[in-house]
Parts: sequence; C-alpha cells; structure tokens
Amino acid sequence: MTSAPVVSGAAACTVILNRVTINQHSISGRVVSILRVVEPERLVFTFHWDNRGGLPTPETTITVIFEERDGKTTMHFHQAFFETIEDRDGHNGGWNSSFDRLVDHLDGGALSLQTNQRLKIVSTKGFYEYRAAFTRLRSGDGSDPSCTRASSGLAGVFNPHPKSMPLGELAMHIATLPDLGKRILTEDTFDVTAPNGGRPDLVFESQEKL
Amino acid sequence: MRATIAASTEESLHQGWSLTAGDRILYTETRYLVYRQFFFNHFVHHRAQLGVYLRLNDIPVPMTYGPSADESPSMSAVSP
Repeated sequence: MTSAPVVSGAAACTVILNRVTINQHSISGRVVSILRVVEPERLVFTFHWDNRGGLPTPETTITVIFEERDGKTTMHFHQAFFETIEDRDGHNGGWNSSFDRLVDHLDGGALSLQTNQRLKIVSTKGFYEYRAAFTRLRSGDGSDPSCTRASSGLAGVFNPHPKSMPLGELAMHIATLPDLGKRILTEDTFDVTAPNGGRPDLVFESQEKL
Repeated sequence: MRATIAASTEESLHQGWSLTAGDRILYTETRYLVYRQFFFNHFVHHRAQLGVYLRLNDIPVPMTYGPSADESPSMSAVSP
C-alpha cells in the first residue's frame, strides 16, 4: 500500500490518500483542486479516481469539518455528488478504513475515534440526476434532450437541474431586473413584444474574455 | 435607481401602469403594486435561487437576510 500526503495545513491537518486494493486490483485517486482551506476548521477539495474505463471518474467534492467539542475534535465528512447509489455506497468501506488508520497517524494509536456516524453522504435521489446532467453538460455533450436550456453545450455551463435556468442566464436576469424597476417608475407601459423583450442591450463577458 | 425612487411622487405611485402586447393591454395595476410584484418579489425570488447555485458550487454565499453560513459558522446546517 502506498500513500502520499496531498493536502497539508499549518494546523496539523493532513489528508492522506491511499492506493486502495479492491478485489486484488489496485486503484488510485487524487485531489483535483483545493477549493477552500479555513484553518483549523474546514477543508474542501475535489477528488476523482484516476481510471475507470480509461478515463478519470467525475469529480466529487469532499468537505471535511473539524469541530471542537469538550476538548476533543469531531470530524464531519461529506462527499458529493455520485452518479449512482451503488457508487456512493461503494465508498463507505474505503473511507472508514482510512479513518481507522487516521488514529495511527495522529498519535500512534493512543487516541480513539468514535466509529459511529463517521460518514455522512448525500442520499437525496434528485442529486444524482442533477449530477449526471451536470456531468453531461461539462463534457460538452449538448445533445442530451433533457438539457434543453443549455443547448449551447458549453463547458462550464452550470444548471442544477435540466429544467433550471443556467447560472449565467440567471445572473444576467438578476442584474437587469433593477432596470425593469426603473422603467416601472418612469414609464406607463411595458410592451412584451418589443425587440429583445424591451431589455437593455447588455453583453455578458466571461472572466477569461475580460 | 435611487434617484428615480427619490423622484417618484405619492401621486405617480397610485397611477395605473400597464403591460401590453402591441396595441393590446394585458394587465393594468397601480404603479406601486407593479413595482412590488414585478420588481421586488421577482428580484428576491431569483436572488435566493442564485444563492442555492452558489452553494452547490461551493462558492461562499453573501449575506441577504442576516449572515449566511459562510459569514457566521453558527448559522451552518452542517452539524452532527
């Protein structure tokens, strides 16, 4: 079994990702990006397995929260989103065995971990559907008929559900609403058949383009 | 926007305001009610929606009604 420290913080917070052996096949995974580090209480990062059918698995977001309680530390562990329930449940054993080894890592086994409810995983079925739709969008495949709102199929387009407004469109809608408020105060009518819905001519630029 | 609100009069807010489709009138209400429903309610609705989008992407959510869980850990629903 090989292991490598991947994330470390000054507040004695180290995440070790192990090479895991499942049915005699060794598999590996890695931290893709670190989203947030709030010392000493919170760590958020994305993770994928390196190889499933020749490709890395979709990224999942892992949130670890350390909470002080009566002089001890309680660790809350959360991972989302999985595409299937089987995939989610398949992670239980792996993480639990990692947490068992965390005791050895921390203090040569002198500390003890409470083993109940260590793993808290999102189980709402809807999330799997969101995640699957989101993954299809990110892969640039705009042909999925369930993703009608995001017909551009642009990488990075986010909508939490195929029926939802994509993020950029929603942000634009909110940004232009005060203009509608102003027009209600200064004009007597609003013609819905006006070009561009009567909205001001604004252009949305991505951060990269700016 | 602030200047426009400041320039509004009590009288103008009670005047009728209409949604039209060309020559056809679809809806008429007092200006203050239209302002509240079409702008305020609408704006609050979508701003809350945007907060959920931010949370799902692990982007810190700004304060709206009091501090969000990012600004005050005690507001966080993540608990044992």
